[in-house]
Amino acid sequence: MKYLSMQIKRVCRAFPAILLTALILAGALGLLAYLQTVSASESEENQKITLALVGDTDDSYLGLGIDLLRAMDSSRFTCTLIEMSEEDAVDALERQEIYGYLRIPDNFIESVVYGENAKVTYVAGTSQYGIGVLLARELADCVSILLTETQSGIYAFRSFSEQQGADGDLWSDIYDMNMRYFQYVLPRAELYDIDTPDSSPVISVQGYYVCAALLMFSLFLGASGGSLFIRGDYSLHRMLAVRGTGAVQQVLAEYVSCCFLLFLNYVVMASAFLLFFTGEDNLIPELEGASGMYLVRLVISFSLLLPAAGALLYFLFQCARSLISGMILTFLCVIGLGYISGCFYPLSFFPEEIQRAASVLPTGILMEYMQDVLLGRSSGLPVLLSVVWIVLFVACACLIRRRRISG
Amino acid sequence: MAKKLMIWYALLSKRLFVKPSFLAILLLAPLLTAGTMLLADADAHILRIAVYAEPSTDMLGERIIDDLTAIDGVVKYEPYSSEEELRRAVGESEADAGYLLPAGLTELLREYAAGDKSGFPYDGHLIRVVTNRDNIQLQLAREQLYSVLYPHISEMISEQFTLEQDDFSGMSEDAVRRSVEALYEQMHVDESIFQFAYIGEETPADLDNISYLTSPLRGLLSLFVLLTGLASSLYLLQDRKEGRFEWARYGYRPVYEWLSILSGTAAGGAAAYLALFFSGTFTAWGEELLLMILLVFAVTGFSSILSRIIRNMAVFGTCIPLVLLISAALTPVFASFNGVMTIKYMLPTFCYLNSVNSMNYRVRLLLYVLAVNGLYFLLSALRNVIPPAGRVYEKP
Repeated sequence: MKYLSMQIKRVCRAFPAILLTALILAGALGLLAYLQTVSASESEENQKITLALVGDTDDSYLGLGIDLLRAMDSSRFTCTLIEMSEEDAVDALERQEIYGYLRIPDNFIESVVYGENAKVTYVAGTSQYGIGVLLARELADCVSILLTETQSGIYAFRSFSEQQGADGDLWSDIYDMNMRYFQYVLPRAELYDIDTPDSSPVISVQGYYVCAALLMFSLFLGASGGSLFIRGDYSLHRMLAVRGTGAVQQVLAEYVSCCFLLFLNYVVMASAFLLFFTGEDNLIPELEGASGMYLVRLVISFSLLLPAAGALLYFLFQCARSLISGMILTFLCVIGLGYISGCFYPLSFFPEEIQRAASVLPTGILMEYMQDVLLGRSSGLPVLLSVVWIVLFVACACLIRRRRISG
Repeated sequence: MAKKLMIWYALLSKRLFVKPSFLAILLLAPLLTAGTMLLADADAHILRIAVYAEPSTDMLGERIIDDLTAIDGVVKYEPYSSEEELRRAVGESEADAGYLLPAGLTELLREYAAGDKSGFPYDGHLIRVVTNRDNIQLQLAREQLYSVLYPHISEMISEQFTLEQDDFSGMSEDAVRRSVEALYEQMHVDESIFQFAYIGEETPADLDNISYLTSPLRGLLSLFVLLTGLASSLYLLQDRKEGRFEWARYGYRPVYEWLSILSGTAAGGAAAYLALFFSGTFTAWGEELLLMILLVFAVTGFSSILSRIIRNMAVFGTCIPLVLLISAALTPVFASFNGVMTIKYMLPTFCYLNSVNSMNYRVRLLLYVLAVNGLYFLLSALRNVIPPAGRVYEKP
């Protein structure tokens, strides 16, 4: 008990500095985000995706297409097209002022007419490796099909008219045909009837990422306490063991104090959570119209993640013999576990084997538990599995400590 | 002096490597990278869409399903044997959405091309989309469905438009349709008119080999190097607390402290370089080595400045996750956000990640290295001139 109170005192002594630093840095980050949001909302232009057009845009057909894109409601509120030279576009892309640029080859339309298939190149910045560029590719494929199929339809009509020696105004007919295509393509969303069946509730993207952020913040801020729990010298612990405070008592006392540190961090995070999500303009659909009391209950329910997170962190701290190894190991494991448990990308993006593995990993279990709580579902199994992990981690930490004391 | 510094660098590195656990932890980076690369070959998709075509003698519905399932992209389409099965899959979140295609699709499309939508079976709509939510990815998937339907719609619009022209009123409908269909096939362009390239690369990017699951690896490895730098600084604070550098001449102490941080960061950089080799994003060994060396010096300078400003271990420990989180959010690890460029330029990983494809950013990274390391030695020199309050340094 005396050892426990000593450990708690150590945590309490370190906590004000931890809190102050966390508040200053989080405040600075929040202020930056706020300033960014304010400056973005001040200018409507800043909210759009800006793409540059580089190359030969003089062709009348292409010009018509670009003007159409600029005029269409579906694109003009989301996308800005700017014509510039390639040098300027590269500079703008490096300064992240544009999202990417389209390089249109010389005589592009002519080459399409003659079946040479010159290609428009979409040049993306390094910042768009991965999912962004893959989604853009899928969308570009769809746009390409719309353009080439429309072109095939119009050229088929033109060739047929020419073959049959039609005497009407062919260019006027082609213009009408273009308009006919627009009439079908533009309202394409009307083809779909969206049916939402009665089914098990699905967590919203915002709700999912709040759970992920809460878990990652708990683990990251907890990991910052590594300097309190990682030790290279165990002479004091050997002495304590001789005086009757054995490895198990030492580990339990330190584990409880580790959880206490997480709890203190959590109180600060929970206060910010309550401050941010209480109100009418709630960002999380699951919390729309939730009373203050409900949010407090939710915060209390979420706090059950602390013993499991504490056990994981404490075990990792015990695995290392030096501060540098301990910090690297802890962060590496937290980032790795967080990644495959869906804290960065949604878990559904991963292969099924990984999803199954994540469902038994401590971070995966905690994510599932928090989602269950947010959706008001029963969360018995995740709680049971986290208890198993807590026992396992603490038992392993006891074995490590015993070995260190005896060695 | 240089020889002495080299000896001390070797000793400081030896101090780290003498513990096998440090080496084992460093090797975790290439091991985890190699493990993540296994994910690249696995079947992973951002959306799963169930599709079902109502039974019909018209095979167009089945063809649409075949075309959808043949798409090799980030959306996976799975055929279902009944509407009930499809609804159950969506209800139990086995699928993100389900598409119901009506019977007699060809006739419905032909009527649609003629301007008649009265036959649309789903409350006046052609396709029923069963889903629990709607988001941008599902909207993209609907565009993909439309791109599979569109060739049929486009051909029918072309036929219908031709039939409506007075010049061909004397011809039979079948003859016109057959001729336009043949010409349509003849004019058809199969290849996409778009190709992708990354800035600074002349050749188009091969997107088929990109896995969104492994694409953040380079960014994560740069964060790993940053972490080793910050952890080395924390270790230095512990050393300072225990008086390990007290023996050094006061004027040279910053150099030894800088070497101490460099020894840990360089070890992390070596592990990250090895991991990059397995990451699938490795370019040329010489270029990668140069960039990694610059990153190591950038991180060393950055961490040295932090260790000069923050002297409390608990405070520094708190800074580590926050610096990592800020770096993960503001530098292009998972995604990149526009703006806050001043803050971005302060982070060592920002210039490094952008310099992979940009000569301009390589120059900026070099300037960053010179600036942060110069600033550290300047701060140290100022500290020598103006010792902290409460301390009196006596001449020996």
